[in-house]
Amino acid sequence: MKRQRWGTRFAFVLAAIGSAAGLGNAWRFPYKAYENGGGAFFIPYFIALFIVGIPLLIAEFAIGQGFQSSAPKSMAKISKKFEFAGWWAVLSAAIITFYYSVIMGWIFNYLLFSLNVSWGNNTGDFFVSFLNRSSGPENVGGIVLPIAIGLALSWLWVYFILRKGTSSVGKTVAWTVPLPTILLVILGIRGMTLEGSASGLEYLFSPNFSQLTSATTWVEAVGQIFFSLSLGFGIMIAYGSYNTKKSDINNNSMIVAFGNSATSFLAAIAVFSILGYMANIQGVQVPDVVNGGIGLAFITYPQAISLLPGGVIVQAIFGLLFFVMLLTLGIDSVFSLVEAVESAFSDKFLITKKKFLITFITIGFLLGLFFSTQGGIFWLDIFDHFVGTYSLLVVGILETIIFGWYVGADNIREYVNSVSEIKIGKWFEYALKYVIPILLIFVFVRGAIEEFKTPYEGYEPWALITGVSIVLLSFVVGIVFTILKPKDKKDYTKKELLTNLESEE
Amino acid sequence: MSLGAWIVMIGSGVILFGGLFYFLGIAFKKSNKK
Repeated sequence: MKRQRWGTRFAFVLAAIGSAAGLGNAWRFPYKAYENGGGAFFIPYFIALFIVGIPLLIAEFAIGQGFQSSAPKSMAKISKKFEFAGWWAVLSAAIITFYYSVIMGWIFNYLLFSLNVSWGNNTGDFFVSFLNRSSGPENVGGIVLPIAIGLALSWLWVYFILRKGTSSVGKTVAWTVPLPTILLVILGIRGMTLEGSASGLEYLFSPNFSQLTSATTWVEAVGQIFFSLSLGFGIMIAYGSYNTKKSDINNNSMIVAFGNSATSFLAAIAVFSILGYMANIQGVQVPDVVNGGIGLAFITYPQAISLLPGGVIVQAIFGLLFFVMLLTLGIDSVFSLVEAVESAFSDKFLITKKKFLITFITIGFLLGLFFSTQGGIFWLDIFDHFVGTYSLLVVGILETIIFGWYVGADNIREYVNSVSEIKIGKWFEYALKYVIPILLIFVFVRGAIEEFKTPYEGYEPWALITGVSIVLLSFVVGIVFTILKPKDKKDYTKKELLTNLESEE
Repeated sequence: MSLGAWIVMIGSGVILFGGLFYFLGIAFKKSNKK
């Protein structure tokens, strides 16, 4: 099967930025920055960007592009015993699409609600009644129809984006990547021109240097960079594999990493300026209104929109702008996750794109219905906490060991420098071999200890054990896929790996 | 806003957007050479 190619270099760069810049940029970064020292957080954040994010991004692009294969096949080319790590990555990606598409379904509904600002002033109660939320994960309840319809729309959109591979993806990202940036600028400018916005920005940017002595701040910065750049899913490996072997890697990685962080920065201004206004109007302090995650997007921000001057029409316009921004930020991430899975199945089982998409999207929709139930939000939260954190961390740690030690950080550096406009120094090798694995192991161990000390969100142990089981299940299924015979029956050797990395196309 | 907050906001913006446009510039220069 001939490998698909990106139409232009910028289609690839935009698709990679689109994948990295997702909902987390809008609702995770601003909150993390605020929580961990405000302006002082930017110091560990930038350090983590340079010593964790950029080197790992370069390594993932290099492996995909060098081996011209998806994550599992690239790993298999390195050594058959590592193929499971690639499958673990893409299976985690698959699981994430099952609930991420449900959040997209919520956003579709909120787009409609924006038209007449139906959430009113009590946005918390509105959100709970929209979800028809049950009392906890033990009460799954029935499927909430509007969410299921939104879910179907999300999957339909993903199908149309991916149906023609890189050519249809290229056309989509040409507008879904710049649009949220433009919308964030508009929301930021509106936010900054509101009375009280400066107090919100003061909380965000005023540096509290004492926080830099706390390990938590550094761990959060490493985590933010790692989770934000779509690393450990196999996405960047798959996207890199659609480039020719002589395509630039270092400069593209820099553009993607800076583009992603710039989006987070804009989002932080848009969010905190309006939170400052909201606190001012309500006569409370900014910390009283600060929120992160789902609560920020569906409760706090809509409430701030309800308080905007200019009447319902203006509020509706800003509601629409906000939710279109979220929708376009999110969709690039969803389809990139699906693409990582698609490329893996296509490489190993030679399954056609159409057949894969129809099968996967049907399964994705059916499993997504579970997260569209009355208790779905609790399960979404539990799955995201375990799969979206621990699976990714383990895959990230495995990648640094496989790439840095087995492929050889020096080999990767030699390859990327041979095809790139800007050259990277020896620091890359130290980062990939020592610094990143140690930091990721630290983040993992610290998080795991915390799990034992305090049950996540106070959920019952059985619910949390289910979350851990899903992580383990994706590992076991990864092993099963590794054992299955590939359709192309090609035997890869380490010798081929080295020629693969060094040979010209 | 305090001076510290201004410095962080403008400094971070300059690093991020400066970096982004710097690397975009290199890429454009190369594609124009071709």
